[in-house]
Amino acid sequence: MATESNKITLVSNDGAEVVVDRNVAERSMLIKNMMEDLGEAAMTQSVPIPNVNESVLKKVIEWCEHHKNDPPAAADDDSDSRKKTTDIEEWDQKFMQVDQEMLFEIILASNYLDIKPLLDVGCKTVANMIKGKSPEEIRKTFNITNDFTPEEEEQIRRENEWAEDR
Amino acid sequence: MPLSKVPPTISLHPTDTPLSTTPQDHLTTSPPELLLAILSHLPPSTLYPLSRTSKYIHTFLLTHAATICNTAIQSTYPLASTILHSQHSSTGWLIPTHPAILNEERRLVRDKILFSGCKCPPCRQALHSSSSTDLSLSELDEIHGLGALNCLNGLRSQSCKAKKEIDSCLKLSRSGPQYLIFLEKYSWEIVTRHSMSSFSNSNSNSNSNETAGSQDSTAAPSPTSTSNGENQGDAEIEQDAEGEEDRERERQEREKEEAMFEFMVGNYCVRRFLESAEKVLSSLPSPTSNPTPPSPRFSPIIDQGRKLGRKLLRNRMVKRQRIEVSEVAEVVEDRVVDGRQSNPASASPTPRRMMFGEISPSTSDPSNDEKALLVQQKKVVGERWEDGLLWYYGLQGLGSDPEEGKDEQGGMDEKERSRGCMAVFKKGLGIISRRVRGLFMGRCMGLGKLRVGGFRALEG
Repeated sequence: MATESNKITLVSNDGAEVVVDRNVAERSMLIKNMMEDLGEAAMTQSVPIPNVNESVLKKVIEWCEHHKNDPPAAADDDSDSRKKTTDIEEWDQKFMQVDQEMLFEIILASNYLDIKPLLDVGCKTVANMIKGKSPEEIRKTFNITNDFTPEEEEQIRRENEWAEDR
Repeated sequence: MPLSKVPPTISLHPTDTPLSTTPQDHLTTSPPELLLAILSHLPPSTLYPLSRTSKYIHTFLLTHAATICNTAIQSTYPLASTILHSQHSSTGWLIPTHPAILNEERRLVRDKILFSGCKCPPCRQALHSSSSTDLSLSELDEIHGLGALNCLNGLRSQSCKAKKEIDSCLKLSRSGPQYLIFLEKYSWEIVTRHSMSSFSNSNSNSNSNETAGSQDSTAAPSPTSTSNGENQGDAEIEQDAEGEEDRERERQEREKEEAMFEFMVGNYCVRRFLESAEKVLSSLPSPTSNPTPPSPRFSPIIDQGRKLGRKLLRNRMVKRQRIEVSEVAEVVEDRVVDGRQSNPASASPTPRRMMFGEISPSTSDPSNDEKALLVQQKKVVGERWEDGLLWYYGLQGLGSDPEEGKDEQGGMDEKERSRGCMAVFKKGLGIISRRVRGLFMGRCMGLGKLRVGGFRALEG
């Protein structure tokens, strides 16, 4: 339960309670809309976040706290930000230096909580992990099972060899 | 007391992934909407290696190709897309409908027919219709939903020399990622050419004209209503006449600018892109006459992919550096030319009197920085624009592509084709019947005159 009027309590799916400032939590459009719908009642009650566990929730809140004063992105900014896929803020780059499981959990959580800038940062990070890599390197990076038939695989291998020889 | 639980919008671990993968495979086990969000941050050329990692991703990319391309176009090139009047096709692809592109595509088809020297009736008809008026062919396409052309293609099958070229003709207005790749290469140029043309703010001009006109019209009655306003009235009539002339001149100027823009975009962007893209795709082995259905198609596709891959990769590897640098240089040089041509106020002694395509010798152009930047970007990223086409066309070939077929010639089923043929046949019959009727009526009239004349003669 929140002790102060400007704080709300979020409950992760493993039962952990995390108390955050309202303006931090409202980086999530899901929580913001919920607050607007429920009004003051929401301040006195804990908000369950059923799809996110404690570690991911804390990580997301860490990001929200750092970005709590960011101006809301306009539509034009969005198109601009999409253009430069490699452009990720330094702090965000460090923030995203986590293992892949956590990275994808953050992406899923940001999608669920409707935190678009965090979702973009997560997707950009994954996109940067794909860019400039060969199929084999991508498979290795993401542990993708190669399910091509041996014949198809042989074909792809020969193509790759051929390309390297040239 | 906890709030009522919010229903989850997505499941963290979807169980509906089509293929079982290892538990650590976070990419392919992501929900499709998130995978699409990730893909939206990838350049199209990166999709090619990605499509070859697993069957699931390959199928996913082909299934969502339209969404991926549309998202990329709308988010990355919104302005160029608007300039080119992008619209969703019946198959969900965002395609350009600007006359600059459609007319150029038509000219390319015409060139192919002329080059092949084919004299078959459908080709002659296509040449005639495209030479008599530029829009007739497009109207035909729109009205018959390409039925007539497909019918012609069907008729072409026996003896037409241009059939192969026309069938393999790549168009921006067709389904496929080529429009996205085109924008990736030429959006800057299109936007620049458009912004440098005076008609780019024609709306605001026309609005201001309209407002000015309305002001004139509202102001006009007051002096004319006065008794001593004859001279004023004459003066205003003269002013109006001058205004009319000015407006007419402006309109003509704007039309000229629009034609210039269409020519520039068509010749320097569309033609150049389509020719180079076709060069890439023409190295494809000719697609099998019967496209295999999606499920068992992979092994023949691999054969095609192998041949295609060899040729394409050979081209790419040999010309890698040359293509990248030369093409970027070409584009930027065009921009330099355009900058000089479209900006008469610049220091050039012969503003926009240069021949089309003439390369300006000037090196002190501000766009040099961009040239360097573009070259640098290309080198750093090391991307090949061909890959942006290969992920879609690569493993299956242009002709046997399912989406393409659905949208274009291949996708037109027999019923539709026969309907198109029947429409042409009926049209022909109609013309013949009109002529016969005309002849018949003419004779009847002649007989009638004779009779009348005879009666008159008798009466007389």
